[in-house]
Amino acid sequence: MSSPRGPKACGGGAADRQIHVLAVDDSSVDRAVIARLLRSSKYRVTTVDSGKKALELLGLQEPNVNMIITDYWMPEMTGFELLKIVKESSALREIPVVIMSSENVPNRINRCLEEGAEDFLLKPVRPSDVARLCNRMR
Amino acid sequence: MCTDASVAVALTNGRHRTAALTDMMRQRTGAAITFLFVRQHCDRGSEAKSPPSLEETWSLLQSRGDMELGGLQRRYIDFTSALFREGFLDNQYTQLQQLQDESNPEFVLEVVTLFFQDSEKLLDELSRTLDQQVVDFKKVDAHVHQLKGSSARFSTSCPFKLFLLGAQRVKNVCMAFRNCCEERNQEGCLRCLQQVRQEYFLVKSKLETLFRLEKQILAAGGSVPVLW
Repeated sequence: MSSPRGPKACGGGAADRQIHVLAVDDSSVDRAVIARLLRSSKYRVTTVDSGKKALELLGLQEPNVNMIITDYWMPEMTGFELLKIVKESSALREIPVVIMSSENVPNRINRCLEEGAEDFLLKPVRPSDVARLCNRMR
Repeated sequence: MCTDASVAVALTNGRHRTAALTDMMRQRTGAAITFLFVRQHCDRGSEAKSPPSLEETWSLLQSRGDMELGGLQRRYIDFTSALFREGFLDNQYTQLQQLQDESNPEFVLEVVTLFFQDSEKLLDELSRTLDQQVVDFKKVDAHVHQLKGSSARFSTSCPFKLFLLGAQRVKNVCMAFRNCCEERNQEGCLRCLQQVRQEYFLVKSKLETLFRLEKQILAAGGSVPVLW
């Protein structure tokens, strides 16, 4: 039963392979919100609170991650730095990376897109933003 | 079996009906709310009857005025409207409510609890950092940055801005806070921290009242109005 408010679940995809999104954000509140949004679109979601933990997870044998969605501003490693590392890695560069930020800074947005980010979302992220990402999954 | 409150609620599922009912309520109560959307609360398996007219609905709601549930709901609406007006709540709170449903019935409470935990951790961190012999102002500044989030209208990275505690008030305190960091002014920082602490506990008590009202409404068998 679909919620009247929630986005439509992404159609297609093999029944045995649920789309897996890795969400990276140092704020537990934001993690809760993005996880809720993604799960209501029927994605499998793993949340981590830092770029470092994200890379640990991605370094595993079979991370099976179809998309990375990361906050921009995080202590120790920003989302931009994480993006660069992913795009420079032959193993990971095919994974689409989406950056989220509460700050609307055009230079920042351009830099991220130039570095290979798939999309840039302004917080608060809405169900329509998540629906838009549907087509960008690997 | 639908309760009386639920019958009134069922009426307002359609947007056009919601708007009409809201207009009527606004005119008759002079309430400062912009929209009132009352979520369906009928038990599963109840029959969908043809909904009562607006007049019938209005008298239903009126008649509940003296009864506990209607009174509770009115108090909730008044309280929440005031919080919106005073800048303690904003659309983000409403968006959180919209993410709450049968499969995630406690979503807002969960998020707000995280907000309390994060904020208090941050406040403690700030206290500790400012209490050192040699203060690491860069660290203080980083924490305040987290506190303030961005200048964007809705900032979820800032636990305080999430609920817009009188946005201007927090923004000013955080700006002053960051200035003190730049000037390496420990006294100034401590004063700012005190102010931020006060704002936070004010928000916390308002939110706790909100949740208490919600619990009372649910206990009385009613549904919690969602304002937007």
